Amino acid sequence: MMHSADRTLFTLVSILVTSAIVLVYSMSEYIILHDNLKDLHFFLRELTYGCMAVFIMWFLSLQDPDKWIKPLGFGLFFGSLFLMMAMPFFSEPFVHAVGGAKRWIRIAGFSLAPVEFFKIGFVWFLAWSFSRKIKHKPGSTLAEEFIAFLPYGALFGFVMILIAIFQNDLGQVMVLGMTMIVMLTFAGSSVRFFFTVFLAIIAAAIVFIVSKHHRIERIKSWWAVAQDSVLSILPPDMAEKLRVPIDVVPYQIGHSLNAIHHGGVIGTGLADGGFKLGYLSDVHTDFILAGTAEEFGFMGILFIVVVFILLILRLFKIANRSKNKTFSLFVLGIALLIAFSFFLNSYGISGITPIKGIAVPFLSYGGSQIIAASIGIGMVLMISKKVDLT
Amino acid sequence: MNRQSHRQVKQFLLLFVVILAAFLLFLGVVIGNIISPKQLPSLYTKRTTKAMRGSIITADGFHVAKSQKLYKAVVDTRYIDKEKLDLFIALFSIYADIPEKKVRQRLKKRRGSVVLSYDIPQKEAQYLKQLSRELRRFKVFKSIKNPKTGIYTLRALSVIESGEDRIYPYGDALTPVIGYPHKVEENGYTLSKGVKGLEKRFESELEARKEGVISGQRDVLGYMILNKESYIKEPLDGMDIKLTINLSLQLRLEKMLEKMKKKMGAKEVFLTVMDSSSGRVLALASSNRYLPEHIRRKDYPSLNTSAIEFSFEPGSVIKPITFAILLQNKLVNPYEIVNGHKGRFKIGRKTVTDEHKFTWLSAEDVIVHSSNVGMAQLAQRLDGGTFHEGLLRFGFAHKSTPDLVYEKRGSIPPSIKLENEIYKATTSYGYGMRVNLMQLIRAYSTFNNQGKRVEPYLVEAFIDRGEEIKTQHEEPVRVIDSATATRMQRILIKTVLKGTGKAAITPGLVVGGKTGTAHLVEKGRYVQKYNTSFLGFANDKTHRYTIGVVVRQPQKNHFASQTAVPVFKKAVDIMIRENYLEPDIVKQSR
Repeated sequence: MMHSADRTLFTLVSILVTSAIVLVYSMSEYIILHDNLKDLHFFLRELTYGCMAVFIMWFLSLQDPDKWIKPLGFGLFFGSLFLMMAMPFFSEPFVHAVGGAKRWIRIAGFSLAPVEFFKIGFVWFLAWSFSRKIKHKPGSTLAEEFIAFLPYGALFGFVMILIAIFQNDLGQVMVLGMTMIVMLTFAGSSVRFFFTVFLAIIAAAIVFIVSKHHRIERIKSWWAVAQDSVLSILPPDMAEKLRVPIDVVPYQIGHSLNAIHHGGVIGTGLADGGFKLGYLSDVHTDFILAGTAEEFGFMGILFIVVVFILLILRLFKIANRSKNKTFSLFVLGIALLIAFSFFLNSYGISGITPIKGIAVPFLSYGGSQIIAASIGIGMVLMISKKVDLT
Repeated sequence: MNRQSHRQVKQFLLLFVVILAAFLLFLGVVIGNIISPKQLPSLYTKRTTKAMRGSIITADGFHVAKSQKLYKAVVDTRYIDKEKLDLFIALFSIYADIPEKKVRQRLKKRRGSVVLSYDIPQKEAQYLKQLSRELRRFKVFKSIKNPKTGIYTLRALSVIESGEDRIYPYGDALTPVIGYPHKVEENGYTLSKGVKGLEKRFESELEARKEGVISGQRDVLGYMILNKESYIKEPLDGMDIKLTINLSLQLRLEKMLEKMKKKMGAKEVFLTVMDSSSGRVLALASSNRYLPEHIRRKDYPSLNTSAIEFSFEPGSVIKPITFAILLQNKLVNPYEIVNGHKGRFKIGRKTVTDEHKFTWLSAEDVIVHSSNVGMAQLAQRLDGGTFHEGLLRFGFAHKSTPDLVYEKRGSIPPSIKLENEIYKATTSYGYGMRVNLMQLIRAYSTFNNQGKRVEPYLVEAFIDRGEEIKTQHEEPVRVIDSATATRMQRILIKTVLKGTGKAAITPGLVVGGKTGTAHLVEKGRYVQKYNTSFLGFANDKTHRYTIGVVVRQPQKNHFASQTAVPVFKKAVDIMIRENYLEPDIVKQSR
């Protein structure tokens, strides 16, 4: 028996997409002037992406999950994997590189970031595979669990090379890695194994960070800001030893924190922000939360956080109630992608962790991100028809 | 199955709690950041615009003195990308209109902040500001790290107001009346302040009043955002001064005076044209002028406005004044007969002589033919007090116009001295006293204005933000009766028609006036040098002008009738051509 697709989920995502259109309109003010673009350059694009996203969600929600999910999931997985593998071999104008990292591919006049689609495909693949291979077997040894995990580990390693090295996008790898191990645990792996892999990933991350200069710089610039609050709780002489001289001006984090402070509780009001005027670079993409904090204050941030919490809660509910193990894992994976992306971004802009260039799901400007995420949500909506949410 | 599902629910719950906690951590940090005190960089900026000195505008609308803002271009050489230095030099050279070589030289002079040019006019400054923006976009400037603070800074080409320049678009026109300024530096900004002439007299009116302010939100590059929050206050410039002087008339008169000066070999020829009924000065011209922007040593003698700053012994031009005082006091009848003593007459130890010798002549002919002997005798009828009082009433020894500075008031003998018969005699024909041309013009205006003396003025109005504020003037003062004035006017007309002023005869106009020739004193002795003058009026049906001419030390001829009078005549002719006077030819021919 089929229910109708989940309206609550659809509404929550639509709220985020609508907010994004308004925010992008305000946040893109400076870059438009700076780059001599048309007044509504970013707004019109974001509006188009937003409309497409809503349409995609609606369209997918109408389809039969038993027929559609599998081909769509594998299509995304293999299609984007293929593009990501091919990308290093292309050059301009077929790919668009930023700082030597080829992240976008041009298809039919559009720039596409395959990694955004890959994330959905990867989650589908894991859900499909985990639900068949990983079983909860109490009493299995760590070695047994490790052997079961090994193929996935190898796949992840390969993906890591593609994304972290060729695209220089560590943030996405972190999101995927964390999503994977949580999904693994939900598929039946032990908590003990979860922590083992978790520690291994942290160790790998440290090696990875130390291997590249700009990553160390980023950590340093983060510490430059964070140290004041951290060191203030230590005894003064100990604090002095740990204090690093500020070598690099923590420009982005600094202005991000300035923007949040400037916004206060209720914000400066729409379009009246000051730090978005060139102080905060990428304010319409990676720093959109800082821009939101400035113009709408803590209330604005609270509103967005509440919508995200409700969104995650709703996804968890669908995942929990889904009788199909694969579907359940997939919905969980989508929820985790959204949550981890949000944390990576929001912790970065608020100075809790170093900044990682990653989009806020649905909110940041960018077509690939919104459309890929809406395909993911569309698939969940499809699944929700098979779930009793009452 | 049931156990499996139970475990799953627990897992979901646990995971949700962790995620919720993670969201709360973010919210907590945001709140902490909002609450904790923080020094925000200023998001506001303020720019001031200097106000400008007012212009001096002639009655016919020419800006004879105006100010122009100057800018300086400053660049810090350390911030210029070495590889793009040539590009910078080439572009700057084109935009600022300064040869490349010069720019390169200045840049090489030293490391650090270099002023590439101090006196860039407004238009070029606008171009340069645009250039600065473009250069920044093309990354011609690179940021430098401060080794101490670790902060990166970037300084691009900056174009800053450096001062104002006073310009005189019509060269030496209206000098020396207009005066000249000097430059004063105030906090690195160069200002013009009046030193002489109108520039000095109206310093407080012309002076720039309040600088303009624009303040508002700024972006990261310091560009201001003009929105409802921004505050704009226009600079309050100094007032403009609207003169009574017509540039077209003034220029023609100046040219004529220059020619006449050469022709007569004089030191200076100057004249004043004033409307007799209002006191409006239409022209105040001198043969000796200078370029206010480039004053050279040889210009120094020309810096003074002779009409007020040159006081001299007037000679015979005073005779009509003395005669008018006599008439007013009913001490003379124009038709009575005066003994000419054949050109020589002794008063005490002093012998008075005449150029033209008369045995007997009528009292009015004493003026017409300028008889010293006649005048000396008539003047004896005045007591010292009356004579002195009379001269004062005509305005001598008092400032003539409020619109010019550094006036030499001259002097007249005190009443007690004028009781003496010799003083009475010499003063009656203009010796032993000092006057300036403007005082004479004012005195003579009474004859052409029914006995009322008007105050000569040069400033018609002040223009404050486009609004004209008319200047206030002294009410005309009655000096002599209307009948006396008419009588005097007739005598002066006769002087032109029959006497020493014949060269001034102009058909169709009513012209009257009196010549004056005065010996110069050097080291206490009269020498063979003269100043000649002619004071008179030229009227048509609707206009009445008082005109005065002074020729200083003409060399070829020292008779006023052949020096000052022809200048007067030429001035009248110019005024006819410029439509200030309309000769009534038809009436004349009938």
